[in-house]
Amino acid sequence: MGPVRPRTSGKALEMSGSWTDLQTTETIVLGSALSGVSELNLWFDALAARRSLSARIAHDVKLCLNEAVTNILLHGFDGDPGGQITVSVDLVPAGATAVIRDNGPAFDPLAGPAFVPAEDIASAEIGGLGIRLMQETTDRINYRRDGEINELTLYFGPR
Amino acid sequence: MRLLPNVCSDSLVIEVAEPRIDAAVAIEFKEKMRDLIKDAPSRVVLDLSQVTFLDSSGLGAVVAVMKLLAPERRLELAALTPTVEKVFRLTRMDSVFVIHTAVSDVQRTAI
Repeated sequence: MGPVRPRTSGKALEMSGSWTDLQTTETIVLGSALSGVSELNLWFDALAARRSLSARIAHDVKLCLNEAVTNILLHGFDGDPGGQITVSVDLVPAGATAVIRDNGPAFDPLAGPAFVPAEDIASAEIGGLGIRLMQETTDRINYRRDGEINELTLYFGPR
Repeated sequence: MRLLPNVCSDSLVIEVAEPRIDAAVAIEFKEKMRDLIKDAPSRVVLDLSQVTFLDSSGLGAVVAVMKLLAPERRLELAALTPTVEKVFRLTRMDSVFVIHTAVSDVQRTAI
């Protein structure tokens, strides 16, 4: 699958004001190449700037999107050229919601073992840190398998 | 991935002259660090003052470099930006590494 241009969907078209001002959900579709992470970040940085997102919530959302997408690309698709990820971010005054959908094998990131802090460098594990960061920077995470699709929803409250 | 080494007293200080350490550059970071620390003294300090984004892949790369140096030598960190400091704190890795507020503090704590 080649590069895919970001797609945007909107809401509240009945209200007054421009379409751009009113839309709350923005979406990007990524392929299975690791370069999708850079594409994702360029898209999100532009979105955050355009929507005047606070630095704190922008960092938390971006970090979680990176963790989720990187994990899917490296471990879910494992080079499968047919892999596709759809990332939608809904920004509202009370926070943000991000939905990540992919067509890789079923994987519930919340089903892993509980986080155990490293006591020293010898015991420090490199794996499992991504889900720890996601759990610590979101208010809530939901996972569900929808047919052949993994759907991960991340909720970010006001901060 | 630009890594700028500088011998400082009894330490090797390596400045990461990039805004990000993430999955896209983690392998390159580890390979370049491996070359730089080959003949390094007992203390290597990573200057992270220019890094504003670190994810778990980047953190894993930093931990991997620490493991390469151990047990005879050690990796310390300096000048963490707030977002990078947050990643170390949330993963409790801040208790595994010696972290200096500024690179200038490294000389004051020379071993």
